[in-house]
Amino acid sequence: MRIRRILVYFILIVFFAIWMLPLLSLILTCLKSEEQILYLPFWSFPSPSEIHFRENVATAWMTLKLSKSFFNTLIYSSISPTVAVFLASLIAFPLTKMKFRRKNTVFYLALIGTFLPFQMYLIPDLKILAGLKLFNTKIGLILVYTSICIPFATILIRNYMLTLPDWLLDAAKLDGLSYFGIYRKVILPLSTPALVVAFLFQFIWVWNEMLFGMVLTHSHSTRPLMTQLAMLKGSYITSFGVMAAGSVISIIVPVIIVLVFQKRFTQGFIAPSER
Amino acid sequence: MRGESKSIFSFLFVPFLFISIFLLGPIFFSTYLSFCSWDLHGPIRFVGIDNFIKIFTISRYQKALLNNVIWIAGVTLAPMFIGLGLAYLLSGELKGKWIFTGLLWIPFAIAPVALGYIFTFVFDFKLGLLNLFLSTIGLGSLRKPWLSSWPLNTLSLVISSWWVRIPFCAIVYLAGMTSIPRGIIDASNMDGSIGFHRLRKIIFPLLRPFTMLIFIWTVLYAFQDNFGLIWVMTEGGPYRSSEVLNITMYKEAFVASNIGYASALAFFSMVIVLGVAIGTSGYSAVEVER
Repeated sequence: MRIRRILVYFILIVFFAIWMLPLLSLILTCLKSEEQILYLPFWSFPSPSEIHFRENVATAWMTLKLSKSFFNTLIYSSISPTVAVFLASLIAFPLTKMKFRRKNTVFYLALIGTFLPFQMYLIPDLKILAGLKLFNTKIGLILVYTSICIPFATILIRNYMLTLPDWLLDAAKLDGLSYFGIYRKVILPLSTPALVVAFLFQFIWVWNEMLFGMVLTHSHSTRPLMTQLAMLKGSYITSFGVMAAGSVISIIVPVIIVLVFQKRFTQGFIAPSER
Repeated sequence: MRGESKSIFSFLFVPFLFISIFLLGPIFFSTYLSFCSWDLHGPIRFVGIDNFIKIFTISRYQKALLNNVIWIAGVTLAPMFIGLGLAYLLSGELKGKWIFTGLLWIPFAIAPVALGYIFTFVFDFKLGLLNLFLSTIGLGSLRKPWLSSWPLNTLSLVISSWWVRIPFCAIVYLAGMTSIPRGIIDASNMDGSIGFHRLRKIIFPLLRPFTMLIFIWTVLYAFQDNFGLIWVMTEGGPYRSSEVLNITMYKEAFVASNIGYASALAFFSMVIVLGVAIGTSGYSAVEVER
């Protein structure tokens, strides 16, 4: 038993040591100038007076315009998931608490979007935004992101609402509440945990999204963070240090959120597997 | 009853407006476009199944198809297996477990684009971690320009994605194990099932819905989310040798303006993902009925 325990620790420590190496090399790289990367030994830490972290960050943030897209993404990833979670709860409520025909059809139409590759939406969405004069605008991108966030949020919120007992509904009906009143005053407040989980998942997704940003924007004023980050590579002033600094800037927010809300994310993975 | 159906309509109207305009409508439009020839601006011309014949006969598409097959095999089997093993090790009582699970969650937060940069630093010929490692242990002769020839570049990309996919599978399986009623695990402890046997006979069957979810998400990953990773590390090159269908689709649509080909590629990907989703939903349903 004791040997088994040691073995388990041994496997886990070896695995995570290997797994953290790439991350460690990213952090070391963002501290170094181009010369240091070329001539210093890989694992050596530059002497404190010669750390180039600030120069690398400044190049990525100012010269390569990561700052603008960082704030764009902050807008996208806070507004779109919020709206999407609200809209998803509007679908989830009648799906779980009201009776009507073709319920399954409605459910499948609402969730199919999570199970199809995004390539299917790219060209039509580009055309639609162009038609609405919303190409390369923040509103346009928010609309698309919101729509894409709805299906998965619907699954999470619906499955949570299913667990709320039906007598709540009967009691509220006796009190003379309309369906909208029940939704707003009873079910929605009780569903807060699911709303939070759905928001968190979609926040991370929108933050990390790149492809729609590539297709639906074409200027610094609207481009999301990851799309801009992907363009660092093509720039002639980019060194490994700058790329690493840009990556660190871009991953810091989602990493903190995921670490803080681990338990909530875990719930999000349990929910869709239940019926 | 009529009042009720009116209120159902008012609940569903706005969300379905969003879904219809930006998701469902586009699915139909893209499907139609995959039977057409179009340059995004001029008139749309119906050409039947020409696009599909082309995507199966032109060699650069065949390469992308082959790479996609490698991707699917590469991100499903090994990551799911290793992820399950990790989750099993982490499901027991362990001191300092929170450190391991915390580390497990970090890759989940990291975007494909950032992952691309991280692994650019691993696979780079001159400065990369991997070649450095090989010279350090005296195998300097094995140093290679990993990203500049097929099939090494595709394999390197798949391995890069493991850094995210293995922890992802472990996280979902771990979530699954915490949702298994404690009593079942205790009972299996008591009847003397241990280790691998217990994992295979008792825990794995209970995890079926999670296996199904992971499998669908993983196939979707191979068709959709690996875009940023490949784009940053190779842009599908050199000479389009590491492209998968989504990169080819992007280039056809937004570089070459062949909307017909692009839509056909997207449609083909959709059919496969949808087939996998429908096929595997049967797999978990069987278990529920038992």
